[in-house]
Amino acid sequence: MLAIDKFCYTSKLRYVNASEKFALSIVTLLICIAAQSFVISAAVMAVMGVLTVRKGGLPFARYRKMMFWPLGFLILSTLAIVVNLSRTPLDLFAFPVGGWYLTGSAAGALRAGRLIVTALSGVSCLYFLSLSTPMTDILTVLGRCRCPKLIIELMLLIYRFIFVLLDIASAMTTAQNARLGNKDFRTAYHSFGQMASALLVRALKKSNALYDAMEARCYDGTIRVLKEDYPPKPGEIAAIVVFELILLILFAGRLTGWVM
Amino acid sequence: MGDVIIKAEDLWYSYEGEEAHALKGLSLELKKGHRIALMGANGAGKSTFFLCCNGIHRPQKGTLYYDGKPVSYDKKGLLELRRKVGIVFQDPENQLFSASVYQEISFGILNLGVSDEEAAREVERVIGELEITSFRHKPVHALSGGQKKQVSIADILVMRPEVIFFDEPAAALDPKHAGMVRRIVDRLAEEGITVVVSTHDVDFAYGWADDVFLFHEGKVLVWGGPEEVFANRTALEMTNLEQPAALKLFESLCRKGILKTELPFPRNLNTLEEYIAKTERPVYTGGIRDMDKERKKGVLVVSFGTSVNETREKTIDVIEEDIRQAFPDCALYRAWTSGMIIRKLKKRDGVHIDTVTEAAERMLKDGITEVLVQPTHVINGVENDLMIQHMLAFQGRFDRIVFGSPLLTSEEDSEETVRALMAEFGGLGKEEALVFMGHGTTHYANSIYAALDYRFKDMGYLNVFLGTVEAYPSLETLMKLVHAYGAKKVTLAPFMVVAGDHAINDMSSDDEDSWRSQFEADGFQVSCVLKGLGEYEGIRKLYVKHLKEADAG
Repeated sequence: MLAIDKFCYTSKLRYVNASEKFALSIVTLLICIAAQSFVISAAVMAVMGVLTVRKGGLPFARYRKMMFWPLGFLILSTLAIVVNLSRTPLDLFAFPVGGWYLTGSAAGALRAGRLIVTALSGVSCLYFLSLSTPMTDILTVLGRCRCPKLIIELMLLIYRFIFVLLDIASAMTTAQNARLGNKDFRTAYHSFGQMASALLVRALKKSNALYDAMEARCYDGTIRVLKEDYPPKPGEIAAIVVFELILLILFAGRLTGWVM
Repeated sequence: MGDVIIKAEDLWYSYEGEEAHALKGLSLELKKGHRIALMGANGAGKSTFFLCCNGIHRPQKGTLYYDGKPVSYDKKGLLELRRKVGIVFQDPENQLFSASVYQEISFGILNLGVSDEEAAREVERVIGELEITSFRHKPVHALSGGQKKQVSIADILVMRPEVIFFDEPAAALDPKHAGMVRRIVDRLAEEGITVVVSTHDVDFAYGWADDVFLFHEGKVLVWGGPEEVFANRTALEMTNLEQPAALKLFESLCRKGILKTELPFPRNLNTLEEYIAKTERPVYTGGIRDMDKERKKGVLVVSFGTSVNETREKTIDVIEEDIRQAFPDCALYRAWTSGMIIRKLKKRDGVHIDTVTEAAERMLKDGITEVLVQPTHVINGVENDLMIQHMLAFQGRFDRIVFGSPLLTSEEDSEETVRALMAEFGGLGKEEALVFMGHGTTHYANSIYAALDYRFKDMGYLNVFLGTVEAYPSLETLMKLVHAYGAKKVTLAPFMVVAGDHAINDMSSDDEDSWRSQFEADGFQVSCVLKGLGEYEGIRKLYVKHLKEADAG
């Protein structure tokens, strides 16, 4: 099992109504992106962190590590905003390089900072959702949101097949390794290619077999399954509404300038 | 013939793009409510036939009848057929399409067009019936093979079919889950559902089925009741099958005249066992004593072994010598159980010492017919258990094997041991403590060490302590107790048959972890007696006594 998948199935928030979790994470995400504010992002990260770690039961060290993955990427990609190559030095810093300057402005740095915290807070929203809600529950919510059936069915099958194919791939890789298939880089490279092509063939065969099995159960082109959901709780809904209202007030503050 | 539910008439089918036919004029009749086993080599057409019965494959030639009517292949007809005929596929991975157990099971019944409420009720019913409740909230990819099988059966049962096909239901399952699947299959048959199982397990098919069909190259080779079909050796051979074990044994026992041929064929090994239990004739097991053969007794002394030659001479060698004198008519053999020590001696000194198995082989070769085994082990631990198992592997090849017990077995042994030791450590002063170092084990027999320590005190030796290197009572415990007793001087002695590596390194060396160093660090005046248990005469006598008791039976 993938780690993220394991966490969502063992999360203490798993049996909370999926629509609630979905709404909380998506609405919050939208406000974060729209506001691009230090205060709002910090608040969101704190709340989502507490929800995922304290309420959900994910080990903090693990969560911290997961938050660091996008951070590295974000820092690298915002470097371009902070650092400029220019003939004239800017206000924050400037290093002369020949006749040019490696330089940055305070406004640029602020913008980069905003971008990083906004993105991180967005990530924390999505982590909250994906670390507390199994894929099948998210699909049920998407169905309620009138997402096209075809897309939902595809997601359902793809999600199941990720694991089926991962199993086959890891079994094949083990079998290759057992026969020195990874003895040096060249061989390993070659083995991987062969494994991938064999996997494709197996995937096609599997999909045919799966189709037969579904037909045997009267499949007629639409996948109908019962929805699994847990009743929403008024208290939780109230808390979500209050939280979003606070964020909206902060958002208004950001527009008028009294919130960073 | 109103009782035929599925009838195939001259079915021909070939897969797309393949010349060879998977079905070559298959004709058969499956009876309603019967337990039916389909058998045959891989590629004989069983799975293809399953898929035909469910309308997935349409035969290119021939007709398939369901309940007397030819199957219609329009949409409505197919839906009708699939509602009544369910297939549980061999590999659940090819059947389970959803990651949620609940959703997965609900798929089939919703396709029948029932309301969500009714579907939910039915899903809950099968979840309960098939004991899926404990893992219903797990994702499908986290289930074990057996659990996936349970779900794939639930998939079909929820649709309440009239006929269920199981494609090799026990394939790739461990015996426990295979047994569970068989019980499910059994229960369905009892409920009156027609159950068709494709299997390679002849013992299962023989014991369970009402009708057996042997498939061969796309046709039915032989069919009928299981006794009839499994008596047909030629047909079995052609389909790569063997006779069921119960039948094979029954025929062999009949040929020997032990069982009567009039008895009905036993359907399983339990019935056969009952037949045998009821026979008047004595049935011999194990070695049968041959009166013409000379009786020759041998003694095997089994020790753990030691690589320290000086201590071996003073302990194992002497024990063996004592036993030799007590059993003057017997040849004496030596075996050691530590492979590491045997290898070390071989490498270092070029000396070969037998393992238990090798010694037993040697005794057989020398014509020994009765073996008296005496371990020099201290407790009834793992080493002793293993030795007994190794020896019992030769049960049928010797007329008799008896085992003397290890040093500490009965209460009397403990008392004797205390006496034997204290005979040599008579003059202990009040401020002196005598501390024995045993080996210790994770085996439950380890409790004897603490019990013996207690026994010392019970017999009046309040200043004698017994601990172990590897288990409880540990050195830490001993130190506490010795302090509590209030001794100033400590004498250390091994409580192991030989004063080998442990006594030298763990007990008396200068190493800071050794018992001596630790007692010294705690302020005691320490002396060491490097004497293995085998050097005490009383202990040796105890071993001899054990063997004599065993021999007397």
